[in-house]
Amino acid sequence: MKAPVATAVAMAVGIVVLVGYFIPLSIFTGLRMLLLQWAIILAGAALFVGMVNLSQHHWARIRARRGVGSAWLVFSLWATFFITFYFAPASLPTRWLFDAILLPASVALLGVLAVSLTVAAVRLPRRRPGLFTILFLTTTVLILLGSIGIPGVGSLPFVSNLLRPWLAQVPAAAGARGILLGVALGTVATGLRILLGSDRPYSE
Amino acid sequence: MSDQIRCPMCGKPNPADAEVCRYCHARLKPIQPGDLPQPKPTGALEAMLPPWIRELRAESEMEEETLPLPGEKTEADGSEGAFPEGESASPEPDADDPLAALWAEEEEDEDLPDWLKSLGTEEEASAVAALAEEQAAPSAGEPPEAAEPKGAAEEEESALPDWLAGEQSAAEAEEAVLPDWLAEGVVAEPAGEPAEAAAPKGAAEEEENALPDGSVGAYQPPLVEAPSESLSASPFVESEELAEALLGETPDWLQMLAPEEESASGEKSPAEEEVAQPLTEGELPSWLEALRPVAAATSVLATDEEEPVETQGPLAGLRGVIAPPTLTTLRPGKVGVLGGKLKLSDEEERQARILQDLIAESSRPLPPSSLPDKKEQKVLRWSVGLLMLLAAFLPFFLPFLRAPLPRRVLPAAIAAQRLIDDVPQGAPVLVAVDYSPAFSAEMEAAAAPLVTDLLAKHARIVAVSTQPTGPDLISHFFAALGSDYRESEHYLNLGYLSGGTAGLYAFARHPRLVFGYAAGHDRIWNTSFLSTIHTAADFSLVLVITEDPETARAWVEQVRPALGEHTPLLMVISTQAEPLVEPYYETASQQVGGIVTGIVGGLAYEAIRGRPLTAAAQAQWGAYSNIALMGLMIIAGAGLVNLVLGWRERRNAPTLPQDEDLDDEEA
Repeated sequence: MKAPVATAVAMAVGIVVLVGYFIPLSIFTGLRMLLLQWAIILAGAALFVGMVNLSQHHWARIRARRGVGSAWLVFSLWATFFITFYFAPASLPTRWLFDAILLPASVALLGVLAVSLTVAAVRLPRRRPGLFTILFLTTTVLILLGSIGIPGVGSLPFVSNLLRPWLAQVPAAAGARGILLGVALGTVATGLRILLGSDRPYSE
Repeated sequence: MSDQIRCPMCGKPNPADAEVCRYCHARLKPIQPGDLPQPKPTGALEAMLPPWIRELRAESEMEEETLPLPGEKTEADGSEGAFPEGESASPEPDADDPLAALWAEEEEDEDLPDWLKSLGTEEEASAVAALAEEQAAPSAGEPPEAAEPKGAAEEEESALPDWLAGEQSAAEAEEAVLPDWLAEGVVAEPAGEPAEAAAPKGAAEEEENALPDGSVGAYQPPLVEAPSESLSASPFVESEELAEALLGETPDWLQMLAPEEESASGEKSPAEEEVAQPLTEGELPSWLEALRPVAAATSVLATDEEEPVETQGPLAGLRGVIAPPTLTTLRPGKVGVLGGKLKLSDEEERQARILQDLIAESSRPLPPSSLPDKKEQKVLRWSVGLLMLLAAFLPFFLPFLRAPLPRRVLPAAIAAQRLIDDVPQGAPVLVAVDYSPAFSAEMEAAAAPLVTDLLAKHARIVAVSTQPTGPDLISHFFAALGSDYRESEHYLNLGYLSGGTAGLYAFARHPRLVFGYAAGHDRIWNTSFLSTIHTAADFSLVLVITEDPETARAWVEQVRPALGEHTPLLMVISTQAEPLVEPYYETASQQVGGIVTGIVGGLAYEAIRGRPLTAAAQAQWGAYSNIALMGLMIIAGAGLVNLVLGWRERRNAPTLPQDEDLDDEEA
C-alpha cells in the first residue's frame, strides 16, 4: 500500500507543477511555489540526513577498529558543523577552515589530477594503439598548443587563431549540442515516466 | 493432461491416441518385439506404382478371376478345411487372436501376384514361427521340462491350425511332384530325430555355410527356432547337401575360405551358439553390443541393474542406453579411455592436431610484458610531476622562459565587456559564485576583471551560490579582489541556495519566498541591495561564474526565461566548459549574452579594456602556459614512443580469441 500512495502523490505533485507552467492561474502558480518551497527545504534537510548517514557508516567502522581515517572524518565533519553552526557561515573561524584546509586540499587534488591525466595520456598509446588513440592525442596536443603562449614565440598564429577555435566551436560544439539535445529528450522522457507512474525512483 | 503424451524426441505434448508426433513425426508408441504390423489401406498409392507392376497386377487379377475362391472346396488347391465350418471366407479379424491379423493381411495380399506372394512366404513363416514359439513358450510358473524343444515342437505341430496343416500337405504334394534330381536334394527329416536337432541346423547355419567367412562375422541375424517341419521345407532353407547338389562342387577358393575347424570338429562356433539362443526383449546381440561406445565407460557408470529401462521411443525396452543425468550414477575420478579406435584419415588427424594446438594455446597465460609494473608507473608519475613543477617555477628565475601574453580577440569577451558597460551606476547585479573550490584559481582570474568593473560602478552586488561551500566561496572571492571590498557594504552574501534546479526556478521568480533569511542579516529584503528586487528580472545583470557545464545549463534553463529582455545573462566559465556553453551564446536568441572563458578570456577582457596586466596575472599566465607546454611535450614525445612500443607488443603478442568469439563458443 506504500508504493501506490507514494506513486499517486508523486504523480499529483508533478502534474500540478507542470500545469502551473502552462496555465497561469493563481491557484496553480501558488500551489506550485508552495511545493517548490517544500522541495528546497527538503533538499537542504537532505544534506543533514546525509551527514548523519555518513557518520553512522563510519562510526560502525570505528567500532570495528577498521579505520583511523573514519575517526578523523567523523571528527572533522562534526567539528566543522558545530563551528559553522555556532559562528555563522561567513564568520572568521569558518573562513579560516575554508581558506586553510578545504581550498588548498581541493586545489592540490586538481593539480594531482593534471599529472594523472598526463600520465594516462602517455600510457594510452601503449595500451591501446589505434586510430582513435592517435586522433585523441593529436586533438589534445593541438588544443593545448592553441591555448598557450610559447616562450620566445608567443601564440602560434594558425593554431591559436584558426585551428583551436575551429576545433572548439565546430566539432566539439557539434558534439556538445548533440549531447544537450539528448539530455533534453532524456529529461522529457524521464519526466513523463514519473508522471505516468512507470518510473518510481522514490519507492523502495 | 492425462489425455496427452509427450514425444520422447522433442518433448512436445501430443494426443494420447496419436501414433506419431505431430511436430517431429517420431513414433510415440514403441514397436515392441512381437508386434505385428497392422494392415493399412494402400489404395491411394496405386497410382504411384510403375506401369510394369500394374500390368503384372492386372494379369494376376485376371488369373485369379478364373481360380476358385479360397472358401470353395476344391481338390486341386488342397485348401480343404482351411476355414472352419460356419465361418465366412473373409472373417473379421479378432483383436485377441494374433492370427486374425495374419488372416487380414493375407486377404490384403490376395491382390499380389504369385511371385510377390512367394517372396512373402518366408516372412510370414518367420512371423508364424515367432507366434507359435510365444504360444509354446513356458510361463513363469511352469517347470523347465515343459520348455523342452522337442516337446514344444511336437506341441506346435499338433497345435497347428487346419490351414497350416493344409499348407504342409501341399508342400508334401509339391515334393512329390519334384523331379528326381531335385527330390534327392531335399533333406527329409529323420523320423526319430528330435526337433531341437533340426533347429540349430536350420536356415541360419545353412546360410552361414553358404557365405564367406568374413560375411558371416559381419552379420548374424537373430533366429528363432523353426516352428515346424513344414516350414523348414521353404525353398530358401535348405540343407548343406541340397546346396551342394544344387550348386555342384564348391570351388577351391571358396573351400579355403570356409571354416575348416567347424566342419572338421562339428563344434558350434560362439556366434552360432549365440544365434541358437533366442533373444529376449531389451537384449542386444553381442555383435551389436560390441559396437556400443559405452562399453569402456562402464567403469565410471553404474551397473546395468541400476540403470533405467527405456519405456518410450525407438529405444524402448533397452536398458542403460541413455545415461540418466543424475549425479548419483557418476562417480568422481578419471574418466576411462573410450573403447574402440577411430579410423581417421591423414587430413582428419591433421585437423585434430590443429584443434589440440588451439586449445592448448588459448589456455596459455598472456605474457605480462604489456602491463607495466608498479615501479615503472611510480617513476613515470614522479617524473611527470617534477617536470611540471619545474616548468611552473623556472620562469620566475629565467625571464626568457616567460610566455608572452595572448593577443587574441574573442567575440564573446567583447560582448561581455559591452554588457558590463550597459549596467547603470548603482544598479542591482546578481552574481552567482557557483564553482567548486578546486577551480577557484582559474575562475577568480577570469571573473575578477568583470566584478571589479561592476564594483567600480557601485553596483549593488548580491552574491548567491548553489554550492554548499558557497558562503565561504563568496567571501573568499571578494576578499581576493582586494581588502577594500567588504560584505554588506559592497556586496551582499545570500549564501547557499538549496534545491538544485527547483531552487533556481523558485529563486528566479520569487526570491523573497526562497530567501527569508541570510546569515548576519535580520531583514535582508529591506536593505538597499534587495529593496527593489521582487524577481530576478529586477536585476540589471545576472553574472554566473561556474566551471561546471551542468550548472551553467541549469541557470540558462531555469533562470534565463524569468529574466526577460532587459536583464542579460553573462557567464564566466572554465575552459573545460567552453564547448558545452558556447552553443547558448552562438544561437540567434543568445540565451547567454556574453562569455569569458578561463584565464585566456580574463586576459582578453583586460586587453579589451586596455588595462595593463598586473604582475600576478602575468605570473599566472606564464605558469599556466609553461605547465601546459610541458604536458604537451610529454604527451607528444612519450606518447609517440609508447605508440611504437604498443604496436610492436601487439604484433608480437599471441593472438587471442576476441570476446565475441568467446561468447559464440559459450553459446
